[in-house]
Amino acid sequence: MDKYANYEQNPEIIETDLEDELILLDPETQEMFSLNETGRMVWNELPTSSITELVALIKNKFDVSSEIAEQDVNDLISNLSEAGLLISNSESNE
Amino acid sequence: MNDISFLILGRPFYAHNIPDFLGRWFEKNWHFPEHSLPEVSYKTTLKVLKEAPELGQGIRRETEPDINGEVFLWHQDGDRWWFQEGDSGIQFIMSPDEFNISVWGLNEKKDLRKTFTALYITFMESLRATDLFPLHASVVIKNRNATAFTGQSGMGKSTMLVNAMADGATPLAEDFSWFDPHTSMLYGWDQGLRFWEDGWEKLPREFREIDWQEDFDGKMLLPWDKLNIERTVSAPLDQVLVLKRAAEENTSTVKQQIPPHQAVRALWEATGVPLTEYTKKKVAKGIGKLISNIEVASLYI
Repeated sequence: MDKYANYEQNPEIIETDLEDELILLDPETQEMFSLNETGRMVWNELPTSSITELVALIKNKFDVSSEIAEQDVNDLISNLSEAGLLISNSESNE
Repeated sequence: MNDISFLILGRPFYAHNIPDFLGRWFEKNWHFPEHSLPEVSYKTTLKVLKEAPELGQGIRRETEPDINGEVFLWHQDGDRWWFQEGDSGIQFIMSPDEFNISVWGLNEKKDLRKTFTALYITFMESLRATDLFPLHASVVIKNRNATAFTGQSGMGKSTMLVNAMADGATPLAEDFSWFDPHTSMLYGWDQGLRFWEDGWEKLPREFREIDWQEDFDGKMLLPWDKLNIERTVSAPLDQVLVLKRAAEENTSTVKQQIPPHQAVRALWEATGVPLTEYTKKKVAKGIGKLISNIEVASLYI
């Protein structure tokens, strides 16, 4: 089973699409994230993809090695969840 | 009891069988006939119920604290939202074609300030559903275009406006206006200048000599028509300036470009967070459009 398969987008987050970047804002904490193209893809695909699928997507889209793609995906998910922009399914079901 | 209907920025509004005090509230807060926009099909309706409808449980939805630090507890069940305060309440149902509001237990003799604020929030949602979004900003006209001064509370938005007016600038809004991202037009939505008593001394003497009224929240209101000044009610928005405090050693006003993500934060602060997912998406799209078409910068004062 994928390491982060139990994470989902925090429904309170406001997304503002500026085309070049996607801005995520948590109105409660005022925490803000700016996502580039890779980040946007992970954010958008996360609800319906496993980590393995995300890594494959990044690898093919940006022509990088599996190791780099995996590192990017894990770092991003880790940062987003630390900032409260992603929440675990168990948390959201409480 | 009366039926009323008018356009709110081109959006039709119909209310059936409403008491006089409620009619006066609509007139004061939502009927601005100076904004004569073409009529659109999305309509808002309101009906007064004799008693609370079957509401069910719903999901609790607390709003972010408003400018007065107040939090509102709403409940949601799908597209249906409601707010209750004792025996009074508001319910709205938002669909792609129309926005239906029901109210019950409203009475002019009871202190229902929170319910009326919730009703105001409800109407804001109905306009957001049609792509408009509000801006908390003071606005002046420069070369027929609007410059909006926004920023956190106490940063000097109203003072900036009053100083500009004293220098002969034309005002559009003191605190509140509606923005249409499709046309970039900004529509003033204030009754006049509003100040707390401790801000009164900052006003030019000619304004202090005018008869003021006490507004619903205790602020002093100087209605536009008493100010004897030229006012523009709507104009294309040209720039948004986010007011910031300069370091004490700096005595001059400095304008500075800000990166897009900071502009996003400033505009969300200026518009406030909508209630529903649908209207959040609408406003997010509108803010993206504003940033791509209009200059947003910081102004250190």
